[in-house]
Amino acid sequence: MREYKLVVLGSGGVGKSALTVQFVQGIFVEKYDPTIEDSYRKNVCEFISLQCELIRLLIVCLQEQFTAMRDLYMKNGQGFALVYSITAQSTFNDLQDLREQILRVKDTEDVPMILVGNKCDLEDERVVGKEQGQNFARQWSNCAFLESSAKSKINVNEIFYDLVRQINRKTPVEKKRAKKKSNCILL
Amino acid sequence: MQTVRTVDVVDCSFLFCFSKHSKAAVQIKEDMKWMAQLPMNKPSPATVTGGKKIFGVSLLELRDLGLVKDGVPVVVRSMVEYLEKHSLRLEGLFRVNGSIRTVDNLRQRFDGGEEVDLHQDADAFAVASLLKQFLRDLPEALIHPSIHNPLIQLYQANDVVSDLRKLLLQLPDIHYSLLHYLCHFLSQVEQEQAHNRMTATNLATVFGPNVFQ
Repeated sequence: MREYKLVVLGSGGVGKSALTVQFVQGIFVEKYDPTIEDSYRKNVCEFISLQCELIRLLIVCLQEQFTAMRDLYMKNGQGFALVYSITAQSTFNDLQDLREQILRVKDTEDVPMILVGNKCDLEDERVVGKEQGQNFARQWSNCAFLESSAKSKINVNEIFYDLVRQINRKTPVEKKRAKKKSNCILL
Repeated sequence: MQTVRTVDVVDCSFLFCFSKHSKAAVQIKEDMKWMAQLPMNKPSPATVTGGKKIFGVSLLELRDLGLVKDGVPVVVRSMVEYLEKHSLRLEGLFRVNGSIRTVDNLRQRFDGGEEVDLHQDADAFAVASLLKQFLRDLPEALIHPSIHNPLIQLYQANDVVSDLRKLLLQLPDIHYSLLHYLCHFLSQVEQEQAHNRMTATNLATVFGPNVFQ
């Protein structure tokens, strides 16, 4: 079974845990409990050339302000969801720094990543426009971008599956059919 | 500063919810051992005391520099007064981070000895983040490590109040007076939880790590 290590990052209160719990358990958490860090596992089926292969997602939610372990998570994570809330400008502005930090820790430009504008059900309270998100993502060498709602179940699964697809593209699954070794025997 | 001592220490007790509430969150999970293979990178070191800096300077040194008034660093007082005035009802106060750039800019200006007008140059989330940073940057945690274990034991036993008071009095005067000041302020924040959604447990979770380093 292949394991994917996904890390969800973002400012406090943007809905990192809500998105993850919605994805893993299919419920919306109403409570306003801050997480410092938490991890979840989910086994899912992924279709690779018509064959269903079981994969395991290990998802870590990390509050951006608790910095001590952050580099560690960045180093070990394979795919990153950078989450902001469309209702709070400050949660959006800082993601640039966060992305740069990830690229620095990973020491490469090519990191599976998705920018996520959460709480898109709260259209009335929107302060970050969808185009702003799109533009941001475009500047990030065409990073994937989605607006989501953990509450209304919009684009929740898509976030995590997109990351898995990106990881697969970057490090393709090893092909099963190994070449037959030619038996060359030297006498 | 002496008057501080008469205060009801129960005010502080909610800070210790932290140890119970996020025990699970703070320790590295079993299934996350794969993450713990690398040495931990400490966040950037606190500012050095050279010159008249404010962040990263011990409370005693701040007092010697004349930057403490009535047991509370002037900078803390100005931040708390700002938040009291504008932000007690703000949703996610101390949970939502302020912009990194704003916070950093404010810190540098305070360190450089500039007069900072928070009303003009900052927003509430930035000030809240700055306050937490001030506490994190203290060379010695506000609540000294030597009383961490007794505190946790006390919290697990039920009869908290009188012993808690005794224990907290072991803290240096200046730590005690700042802790008292903050707890008083945080209980004000907590009273507005219907608006700001920051219950005692929530506050303990986001505030605790800054005073228990």
